[in-house]
Amino acid sequence: MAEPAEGFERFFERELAPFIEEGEAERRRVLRAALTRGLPVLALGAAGLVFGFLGGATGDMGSLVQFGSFAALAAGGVLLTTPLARWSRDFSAALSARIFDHFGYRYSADVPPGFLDAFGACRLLPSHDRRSLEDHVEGEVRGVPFALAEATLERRVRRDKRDDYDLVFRGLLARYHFPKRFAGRTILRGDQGMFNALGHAGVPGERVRLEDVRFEKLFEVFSSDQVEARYLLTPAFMERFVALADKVKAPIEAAFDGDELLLAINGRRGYFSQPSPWRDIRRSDHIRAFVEDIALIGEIAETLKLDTVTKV
Amino acid sequence: MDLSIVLIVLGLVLAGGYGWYVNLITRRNQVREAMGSIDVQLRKRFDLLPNIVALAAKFMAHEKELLEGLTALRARVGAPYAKDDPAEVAAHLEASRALEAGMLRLFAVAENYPELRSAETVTRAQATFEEVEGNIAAARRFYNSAVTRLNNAVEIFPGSLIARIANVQPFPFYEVEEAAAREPVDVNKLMG
Repeated sequence: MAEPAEGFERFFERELAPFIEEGEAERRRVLRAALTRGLPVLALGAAGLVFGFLGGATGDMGSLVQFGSFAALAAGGVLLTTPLARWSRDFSAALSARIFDHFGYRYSADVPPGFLDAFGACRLLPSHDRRSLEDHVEGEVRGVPFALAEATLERRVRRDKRDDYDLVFRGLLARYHFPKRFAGRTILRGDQGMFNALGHAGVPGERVRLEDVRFEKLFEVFSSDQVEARYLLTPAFMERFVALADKVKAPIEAAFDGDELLLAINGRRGYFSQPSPWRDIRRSDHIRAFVEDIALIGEIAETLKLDTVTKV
Repeated sequence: MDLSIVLIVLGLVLAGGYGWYVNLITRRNQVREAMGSIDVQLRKRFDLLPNIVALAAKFMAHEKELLEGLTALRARVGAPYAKDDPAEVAAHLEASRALEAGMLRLFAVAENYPELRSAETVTRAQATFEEVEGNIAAARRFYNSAVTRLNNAVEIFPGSLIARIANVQPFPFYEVEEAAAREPVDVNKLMG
């Protein structure tokens, strides 16, 4: 983690607590306004449904009442949730920017186009039909430039004669500058046991067999250059990578590409969690979880010692 | 009926034997490829030597034997050798090891000569020397990995039988005791 000018607790008291207090007041105002607008419409829809069930209207009139009731319920739902969702998005972006700024990182809710390209080229992403990216963070940690984003990838499946989407990746995609010079591409894929031949079909490069037994159990390495792969994956680096895999407690894959180390951590959860607009944001523990996720950025660089060059 | 069974078994044995043969040759070629990688990396390092020796000769009159020994070793490492012959490969690797240790010794001795130590040629050469160190270690690991795979195939039955017919022999490992490589080396003794 970058060295903040002041401790996080002090920063929290001085800057975040008042901001969250203001946010809570604003959330209540927005919630009240949304309830004022949405509740009568929802009540109207509910009343229409009850009226229809009790047989107050039959025939065409009954259908009309039923349709009108559902339309009112839908409209009430939109009136209730839209302002809260908008508030939540704006507040979260402002809160995230403040916290990341404290650690010396730049934050943007939107991810620059092309961020995924390198990950796709290295086959670090499972095949998917729908994607969403958010929370782009960049900066330097221990003097190592990095950029990361959160990604959600889903694959379309046919289920009960209709299209559905299965989650195939939810987690962090990170790019760190790597301290060694290299020209080829080396890819670390998760070991898939007896399905390795099938699961890694199409991964560019030749299989690289390495000496570290534990590393070999966890990963399959492919590279365009056998010597370069070993130059990058020194015994010390393999040990550190296994330690990182233990630390993140999630499937992790990586690639050396250009002058960067790319990491895909499929934690199957959202990182940099945001407060719920339906709860008092002062009582939520999202800030603690948020800071723990930020600490992971530094832990990656520290565990892998990305600020030093290892020769063997 | 009996003949067809015999033919099927014979066919299977021949197919298996051919498969093993292909595997052996593939692995031997991987060893050659890995040996080539080592040579490429070693050449980067040893190409530094003539300039350093020429410069060092001006300042290190007392180390004449060391410098001459290094030049001779370099010539030995650069000499052509049969990459298929394990004995010649072993001799080539031994000479490479000796030259590597000799160069480390040269840099260590150069510490006693401030003018030489500060010369740009030497500082640049030392930086390059250290930079390629990682590449050499990587090439060595690639080579040893290829040799392990080949030697396993050659030494385990029925590979031992097929290897004898195909004249494929186990290859030597390229091992370097890192600590030993940094100890002072008597180049003349090595040359002797």
